[in-house]
Amino acid sequence: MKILYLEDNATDTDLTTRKLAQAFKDCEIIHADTLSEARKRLKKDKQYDLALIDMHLPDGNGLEFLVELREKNINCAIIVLTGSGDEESAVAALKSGADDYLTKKMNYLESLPSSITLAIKNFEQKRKISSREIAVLYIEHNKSDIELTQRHFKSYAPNFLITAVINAEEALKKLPLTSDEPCKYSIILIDYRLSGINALEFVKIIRRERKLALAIVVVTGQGNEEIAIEALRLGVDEYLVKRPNYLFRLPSLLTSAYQYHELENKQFALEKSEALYRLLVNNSTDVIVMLDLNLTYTYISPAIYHLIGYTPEEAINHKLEDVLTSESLKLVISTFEEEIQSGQFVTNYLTDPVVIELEMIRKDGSRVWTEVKASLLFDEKGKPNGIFGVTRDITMRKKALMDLIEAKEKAEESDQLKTAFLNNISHEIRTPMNAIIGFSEFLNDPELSLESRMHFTDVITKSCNQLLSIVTDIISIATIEAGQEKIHESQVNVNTVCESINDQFFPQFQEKNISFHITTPPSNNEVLINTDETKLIQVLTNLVGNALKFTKKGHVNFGYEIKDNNLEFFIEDTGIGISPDMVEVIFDRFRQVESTSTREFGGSGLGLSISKAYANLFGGKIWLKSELGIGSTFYFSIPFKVTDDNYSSGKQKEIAINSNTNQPLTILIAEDEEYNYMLFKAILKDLNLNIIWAKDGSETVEKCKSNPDIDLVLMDIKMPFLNGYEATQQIRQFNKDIIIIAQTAHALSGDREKAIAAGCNEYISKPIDKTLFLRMLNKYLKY
Amino acid sequence: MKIKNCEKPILLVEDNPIDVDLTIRAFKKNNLGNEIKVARDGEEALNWIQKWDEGEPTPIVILLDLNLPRYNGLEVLKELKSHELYKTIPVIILTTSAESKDIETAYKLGANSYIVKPVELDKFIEVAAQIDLYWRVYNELSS
Repeated sequence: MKILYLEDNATDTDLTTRKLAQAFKDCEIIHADTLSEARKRLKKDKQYDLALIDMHLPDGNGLEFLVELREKNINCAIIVLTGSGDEESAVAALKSGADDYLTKKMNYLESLPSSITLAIKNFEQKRKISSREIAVLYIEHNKSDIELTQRHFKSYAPNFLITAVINAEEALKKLPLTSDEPCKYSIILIDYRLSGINALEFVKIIRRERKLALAIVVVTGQGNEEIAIEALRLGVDEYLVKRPNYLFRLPSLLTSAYQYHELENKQFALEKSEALYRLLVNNSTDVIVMLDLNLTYTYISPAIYHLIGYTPEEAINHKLEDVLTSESLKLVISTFEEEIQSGQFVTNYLTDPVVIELEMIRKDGSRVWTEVKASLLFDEKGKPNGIFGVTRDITMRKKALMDLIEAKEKAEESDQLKTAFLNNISHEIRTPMNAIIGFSEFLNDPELSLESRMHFTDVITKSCNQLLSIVTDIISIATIEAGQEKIHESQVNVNTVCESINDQFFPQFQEKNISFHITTPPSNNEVLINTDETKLIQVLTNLVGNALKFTKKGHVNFGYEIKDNNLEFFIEDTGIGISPDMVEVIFDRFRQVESTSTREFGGSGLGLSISKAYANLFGGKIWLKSELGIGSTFYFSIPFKVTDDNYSSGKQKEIAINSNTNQPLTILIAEDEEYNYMLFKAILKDLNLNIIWAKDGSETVEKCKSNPDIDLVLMDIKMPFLNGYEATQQIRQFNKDIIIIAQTAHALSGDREKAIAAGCNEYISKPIDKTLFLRMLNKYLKY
Repeated sequence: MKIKNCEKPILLVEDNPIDVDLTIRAFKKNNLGNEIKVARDGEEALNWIQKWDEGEPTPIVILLDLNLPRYNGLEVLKELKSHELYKTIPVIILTTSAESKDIETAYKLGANSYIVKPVELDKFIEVAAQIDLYWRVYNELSS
């Protein structure tokens, strides 16, 4: 740093030189104790950073040298030193282009270094401005003054671009009408004396009507304080009297006026942006908060109310720990702990934000998940002094995420269940298949004894039935899944259903040495209801079958009660029981009590879920009570829909056949497959029956026509030429009394209804269950 | 095809009586004279270890089902194949489970063969005979 130091007092010179040498490294001081000495120095060297000038010098006033420096455009900052009580000359110095002044009071040396630093900085800024082009609109009626001023600026302040007009009217034409329009000029320089609109009126128009914010400097021929005051009151920035050399002062005056206005504009822009920012903050749904390092709120934006139910005024009095869960509070502390303690000096106002998820506690005690973008705040020295955060409600997002995770887990669980189900089904199918394949091979042995053969066929038949029941279960569950299962109501005698269950299971219970009891309400021979008989029997068979399967000793009680318009079946056993945690899931698909590999009881694992689906279709319920190791009671209720007694057309007609007469009954078997025909024949061979075979639909119709003795037709549905439905319809045209039983391999629900609609009396699915078939024949033929 | 060492029994571990019946008949049909001992669950199978210790003849091959009450087949297999003396008895898994997890685990535990039911008898007998041959040679060489 190079300083030109103008000072006549030797003591001051010595002290100042020492002080400066101490305060600044590389400080070169060129000292002069008179004006002439200083001028000589200046002639030799024009490069200085600063001129430090005492005002009172032996050969003149320091101000003179100051003006010379500025006139010669010496690029250095200037500080003047004055005695106390000489503020007037200090002001004059400033107006002439000094950057600062110091009064030689006690200890003034102490503040000298910082004043120097500041003055150099200020000067640099001014220089930057002086290198910028500034447009000036000059209003002056005196043309020679215009010429003089323009010439002066051209040589001493060429960055001012002067546009001159001779009156205010002209000037007004050149200026925009409102502050919204762009303005070419930054400064108006106006002479007080004008013809037409005078300067003060002009200023009024500019400031009050057009509200233009450009700088205005007034010059006047004579010093009149009243005018000056009035001008300043109206919004003039500077006022200058045309004294000798006033042109030299004009550029710095214009500069300071311009600077002032620029500052004002900046301030205005700042206020505008601040207002905009407030608007944003106040209307943002995100909550903006600031905290000090003790985690106390210093600012909270209004959106906090919607987030946690406190107004900003209420919230600001709470510590962070009042509105955060302890885990979230720990997270906040751990996030910033390191940075705060490192005491690192950071140049940015904000660090890059970290994003953390915090759970907040609402005023009403409920919780809300938020995402916070948080940054550290720093003071001007770069020391952290707070935390800035933008907080957003992410409850929805969090919930969506939770839902997704839950759905994924569910999907995985259901996938596992499906795999377990497939493996289980595979096992259940392979077990009977193994027996069927194995024993079938033995059947071909020519030396096989009759006894063995019967044993083998018995095993094969049992295995086939087992296989069939699994296939039926799988089809049922597939139909249920497809939503195609429907209830087909008919009149059903509940007691008959119970009897048939008894008939079906009694021998098996006997075999296992388990007592089996049926309990039905007394005195009712016939309990007739409208329901789906097939499905009802299927559910009861499942439940009783389970009781049989899972009970090793003791008893099984089965029956029903009538309770509040519901028919409530119960199946009570002394079996292995079900643990409480399984009671809920036992009706889920593919679930079995024991899904470990030590499976003792077979089964598809579908029975209960089919039963539950049917219970729902019935509009009923299925539930259970159980104790592990003691036994279970399953309940199954269906609505008790009493049949209309007048509704007798649905009642199946029974043919009274005198079983005492020896006249055999005649049965027509309509069947295109020979093997199936032979099977029927084998089943019926012990009965005293005439059997006629028809190989297709049309033959069936023919034979019925030509043979009126036929009592019953076993009608295959899938036949060539005429299918079973069509054949039935044709037969019904000439014979309404003949019993027609449809038999088909499509064991799909709906087939039965189609058959009945076509005119069949009954329906049986293939493969034919011999017992069921004979029971059916019995029912119709009273055999 | 015949399994040698007719004096040695075969141990069949199987809970399904129909399958037991079928297996016994299959051996008989193929004129295999070995006596067939039957264990109806995992526990019964493991009880044989003590019986062998007491002098009962060890089986020439063990046929092991996996779906068993009490101890399942894999647990029985693990116990057998970690036994100092009896780990050399060939074990054939004979099961309805075609689960790759079961197959893998069985072989890892030292099963000598894995057969999925239903199975053709002749094929099954052949596998049993091959394994018997292999192990006999193996045992002769090692002794």
